[in-house]
Amino acid sequence: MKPRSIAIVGAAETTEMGKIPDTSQIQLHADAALNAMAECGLGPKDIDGIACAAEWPTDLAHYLGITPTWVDGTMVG
Amino acid sequence: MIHLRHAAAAINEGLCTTVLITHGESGRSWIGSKAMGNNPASLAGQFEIPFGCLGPPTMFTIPVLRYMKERGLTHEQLANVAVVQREWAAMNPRASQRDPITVQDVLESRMIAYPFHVLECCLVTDGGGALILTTAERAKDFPTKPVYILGTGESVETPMISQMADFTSSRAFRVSGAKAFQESGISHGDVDHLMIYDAFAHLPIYGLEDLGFVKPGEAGQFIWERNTAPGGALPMNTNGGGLSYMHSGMYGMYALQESVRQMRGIAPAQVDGAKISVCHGVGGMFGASGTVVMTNEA
Repeated sequence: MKPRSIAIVGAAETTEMGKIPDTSQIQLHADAALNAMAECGLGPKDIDGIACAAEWPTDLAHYLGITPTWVDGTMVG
Repeated sequence: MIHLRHAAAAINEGLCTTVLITHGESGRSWIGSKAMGNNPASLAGQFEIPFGCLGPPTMFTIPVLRYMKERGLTHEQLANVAVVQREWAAMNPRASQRDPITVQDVLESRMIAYPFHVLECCLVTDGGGALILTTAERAKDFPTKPVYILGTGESVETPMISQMADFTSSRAFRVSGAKAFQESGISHGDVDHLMIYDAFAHLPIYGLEDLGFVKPGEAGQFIWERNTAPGGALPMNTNGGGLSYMHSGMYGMYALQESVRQMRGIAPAQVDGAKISVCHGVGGMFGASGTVVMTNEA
């Protein structure tokens, strides 16, 4: 890739971390995603590419209301 | 790491403009998690699992024992990886484990699978993370400080630990790391901050050598001499790592989050003036690897 052509504009972890017995795995994805979107002022309608590990991107796209034109479900740590 | 590389390529190719990458695992509470079954028809299911070689602590003992024999890595040097990372974790309010530990504490902690004591194994916690990527040109319009991608790498080797070409070095690490350094055009001396996914204490040792920061056999001593510790020349795993910060099952996202925090200048254990961060991950048990080089300079 061409160096400096792409930038990370949103980055966030889940609100809680450690032991979160009241939150399901897909909710952890959604919580982190909404935190990252909030800090850079975007909403699900602004996202057109989605990649997930541990959940399927199809599930999360539906869950958050994202209509992607690019999807990646590569499942590597 | 691999998603980030794919997303960068997709945006540059015009397939999309704004990518969301998410990770999350209920690794400890196991709420709504997907069971990862062992398929008896898989390669591991046929040729390794029937012989008891199952799960990370067992599988990782095989290369690390060969490494210790051939490279002379001591139990104390291996334990010291966990000790140094706990020093970083002590500065991080969100770290799961923050109490200081000594080499002796590690060696006296519960044995899991020789040579790994429990303090040399990753945590099991709940959590997640997300990243949003777009073009560098558009990034200027956002309220957040942009972190630019300089280069990326990825590779795979084998799903069976017994089939690693060399137990003392990961081919996937070497290929992914070399690609990322080549793409980014940086040299090792340019690196201000380093993350190497530490599911177990030996992984930063392999990473330091396979990425070329030190020569084969030198990494244990390099960490012992406090080069990667707070105040050292090459600050590594500054969030406390998978050994002390958090580890939900797949830790790569949390390493990336710490690299971004360091590049934004907002990490709890901030490396003063850091401009280039290298973030390197493992997938499975040396089965796969991804590397990302970031900078905060446009």
